[in-house]
This record gives sequence, C-alpha cells and structure tokens, in this order.
Amino acid sequence: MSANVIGFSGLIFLFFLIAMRVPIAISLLSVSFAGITLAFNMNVALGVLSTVPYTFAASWTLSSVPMFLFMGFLAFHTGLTQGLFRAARAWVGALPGGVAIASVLGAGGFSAVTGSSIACAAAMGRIAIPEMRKSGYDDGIATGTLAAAGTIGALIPPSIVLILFGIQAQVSILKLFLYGFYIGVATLVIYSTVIIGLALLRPHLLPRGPVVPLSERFRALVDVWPLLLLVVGIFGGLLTGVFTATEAGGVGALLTALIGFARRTLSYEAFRSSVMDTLLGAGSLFFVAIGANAFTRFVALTGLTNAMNDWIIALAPSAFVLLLLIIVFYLIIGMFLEPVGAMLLTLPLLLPIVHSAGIDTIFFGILVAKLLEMGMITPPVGLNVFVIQSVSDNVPLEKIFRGVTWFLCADLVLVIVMVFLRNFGT
Amino acid sequence: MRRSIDTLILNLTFGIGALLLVLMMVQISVNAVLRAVFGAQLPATVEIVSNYYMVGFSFLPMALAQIKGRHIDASFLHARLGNGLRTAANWLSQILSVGVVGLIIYQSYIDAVKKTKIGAYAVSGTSEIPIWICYWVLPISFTLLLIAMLFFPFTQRSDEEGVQV
Repeated sequence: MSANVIGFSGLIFLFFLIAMRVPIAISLLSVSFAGITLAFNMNVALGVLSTVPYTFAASWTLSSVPMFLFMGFLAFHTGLTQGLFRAARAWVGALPGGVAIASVLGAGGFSAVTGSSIACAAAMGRIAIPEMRKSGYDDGIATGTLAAAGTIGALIPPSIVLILFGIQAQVSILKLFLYGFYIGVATLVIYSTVIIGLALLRPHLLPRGPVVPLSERFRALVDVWPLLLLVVGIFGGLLTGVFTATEAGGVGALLTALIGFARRTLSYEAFRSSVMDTLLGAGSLFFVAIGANAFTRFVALTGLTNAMNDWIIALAPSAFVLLLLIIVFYLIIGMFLEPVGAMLLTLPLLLPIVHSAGIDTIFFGILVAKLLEMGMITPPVGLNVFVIQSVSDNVPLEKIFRGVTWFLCADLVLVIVMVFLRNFGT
Repeated sequence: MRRSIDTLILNLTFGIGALLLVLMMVQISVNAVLRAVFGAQLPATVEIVSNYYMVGFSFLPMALAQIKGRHIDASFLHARLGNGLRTAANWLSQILSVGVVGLIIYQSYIDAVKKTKIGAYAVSGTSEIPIWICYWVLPISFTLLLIAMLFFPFTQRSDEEGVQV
C-alpha cells in the first residue's frame, strides 16, 4: 500500500472513529500510530509516541494556556465579574433592547478575563437571563442573545483557541490577540445592532428599560473597577512590551488573585474551584493537542499534505475560492465538534494548504476562531445553546436555536466582510 | 474501590496541580517584574517552567479528566445509534484508549529510564538544569490515566448530549 493511500484511509478512519464517539485525542493517536506503522514500521511509530508528548508539553509558550484559564476561573469564582451586567445595564438599559445589549456588553467584559465561550455564556446567562425575563423579554430572544454573546469569549483576548492556533501555526500570539480583539469588538457591535433592530421592529418582544440616573450609573461602575484595573494592567503591559503574551497569563492570574485577596473574596473554596476547573480544562485540551501533533507527523510522513494540496489547488484555483471552501468546511465541522478539538484536528491538514495559497496565517487563525465559534450556536451540536438551556430552567432547544438565528446571520455578514478585508495580519 | 481510586486521583491531582499552578504563576510574574524593573531575570525560568511545571501540569490532570468524563469527544451520531451499536462504539473507545495509553506508558517508561541513565539536563546560560526526573511524569501520569480508564470505562459513560457547566 502506498503512503498516500494510507494517508487518505487514515483520514477516513479518523472521521469514523470520531463519529463513533472515540475521544478525539485517542482517535488522532490511534490513526497516527497505526498509519505510521503501516507506512513505515512500528519503531518509527513508537518514535513519534516517544518525542511528541514531551516536546509538546515542555513549552514556555504553552504555559499561557493554564495561566489564562486560571485567571478566568479565579476572576469568576472570586466574584470579579459579577457586577458587569449590572453596570452595563445601568448605562445602556434604556436603549431599545437595552437589557439584551447589556448582556452582550457584559459578555464582552467577561471575555477580557476568560478564553472560553462556554464559561462566558454560562456565567453571563446565569445572571442576565432571569433579569431579561423579569423585564418581559421573549424567552427565545433572551436565551439566543446569551448563547451568541458567549462566542465573544473566544475572540476577545485572552483566547485559548487563538493561543493554541498560534502555537500550532507558529505565529505571533500578540498579533492574534490584537486582531481577535478587533473581530470580538466588531461582533459585539453587530450583535448590539441586531438587538436594536429587533427591538425597533418588535418592541413587545424586547421592552425598553427605565432610564437610570447618572449618579447610579457611576455607582454601578464601582463594582467593576477591579476588573477594569486587571484588564488595563494586563493589556497595558502587553501592548507596551512590559511583558510578553506568554507572561501575561501568569501576571494576570497573580493580579486576579491579589485583587481577590484585597477584596476578601479569595476564599479556599474559590481557590479550589479555580484550580479544579483549570486542571480539568488543561487535562482535556492538552490531550487533544498532543494527538493533533502526532497527527501532524502522520500527515507529513505519508505525504497526505502534498496530495491534498494538489487536489485542493485543482478544486480551488484562487485563494478566494479556497477561502469560501474553508468557510463552508468549518461551518459544517463546527456544527458537530467543539472548537478546540475541531481546530486542532484540521490544522495539520489545512495549514500547509493555506500557506501555499498565500493566505495570511493571522487572518486564517481569526477566521477559524470566528467560524468555529459560530459552530457553538448552530444545530445539532451547539454547545453554547446546551449551556444556556441548562442555566435557563430548560427553555426548549428549538426556541434557543431560533433566537440565535438573527445573530448567526449577522456573523455571516461579518465573515464576508473579513474575507474582503483579509491580509490584515501582514 | 472505585471511590478510593476517585479520591486518590482527585486529591493527588489537586495537591500537585495547585502547587505547580501557584509556583508557575509566581515564578513567571516575578521574572517579568524583575526584567521590567531591574533588567534582571530569575535563573533558568524558561527551562523550569517548560520542563517542570508544564510537563507536570499537562499530563497529571488527564486521569482526573477521564473520571469526570471531560475528555473531548463528539456525541452527535453516538446518541442516535441503537443500543447494540452504541455499546459496540463504547467498547471501541475503551479498547483503543487502553491500547494507545498502554503504548505511551511502555514508550515513556523506556524513555524515562534512558534519560535517567544519561542524566539528561537542559542548559540555561552556563548552568545545567537536570530534567531527567521530568520524564518520569509521563509514565506515572499515563498509568494513572490507564487506571482511571479501567475503573471509569467508556462503556459506562452517559449517553446524554450536553455540557457540564
């Protein structure tokens, strides 16, 4: 059997294993090991198992992943993010659809300390959905808004998806953070526009809130100043070059712990929950990443990259057509897989193709993050929608998916604009 | 027995994980502040963070993630399979997982012995940081993962789709 045939068979078998719910890490490692053994011999395959796990884990850059995870969980468990929704509501609550806009802005603020869209949706959903219901909002709009708003968590830095992309693609994480921030803010703006539009068209579904006096608005900001201090501290330090993107995670986690300590909210329980959440997050992410690294070797060793490159170039004669194919591909894969797994699974195949087509890698990273986050709110497997259902007294899934539709349409418009403005990373 | 394994892995992972996390956070931060303020750095920070903290933190929690059912998988098709096929798919997960993890234990044990014999070290400036000991984290962590897989097998996992919050 030729190496190419083994490569393609391995790819098909990989998707079969994943569909059979074999853990993604195990699927990647099994296919890589068996494929390399068949194409070469068992010693080469054992060599990959010998070098990949340690080399991947013993990485200075990778240390930002557990550090940013820890920072986000600490901020959440010490109550640092609690006042976000209240403050946003005090300022924008009186706008058409104001309470929904406040939850989107709250999610934007939460995104600045967390890299996970599920955490963002869950945390903001618990606070904002009951408030939106109290204000007479339609259940579908309330839950749909929160499910969509959660996706901002993985775009605005720190973003775990973007850090792992940066490591895998060997590009500047600082640049990814910067452009992730732009697209995150753009998402925030278009979501708010959608809400205002809906509120103007159907005011009975999104009633306007009362105007809050200026003194009360400023009082609401008092609760969020530690969070602002943290965000300014981290991103100020990053942008002025005081510390690197890798160090920002450690510094951010320490700052969060110190703020929690000063506010006397850093209890043993908060610390324990933060450590446990970080351990579980890292335990599952790194296993998949190790599998993806082994799979990269398999793809390279069997020559699958070159074969796919030829095939894709024949199918997509220009970078623009290739991008359209990539968008459709990620929208489909995002419907079934969670973002980190889907990204790590596909990068070994797509990165070489994207490079040879001359597509800017930073742009590609942001595009992939955006598309996979859209997958978090598309059926049948929309993880943010599942999370929102679990924190919203079980609003029917269909209703949440319906509520999300407007935001998905807005996302598609943003993706199209991104494609026309590509090359922003160079 | 299952409960003892659960408690052991939970306490071990939390104890060591918390220690590594706090040490890593403090060392990275102190190093960044020292460099920014005094232009000096803590010796061998990159080597220690990479080889000690990160290797420990990357592999140790995998067993805990297995017990808590947090390893990433795709349940979209699995949930729609008939009972018989679903059981077969669960056994496929179990057999492949035990096989792959077994192979990693075997290979990482051989590597750890080799690195110990040669006294592997990383070079930081003019000093040598012993790292052979870090190679033992892999066989130990993957053995814990294998134990977790045997006592909390995929054949007993929940068939529900959803997310733990």
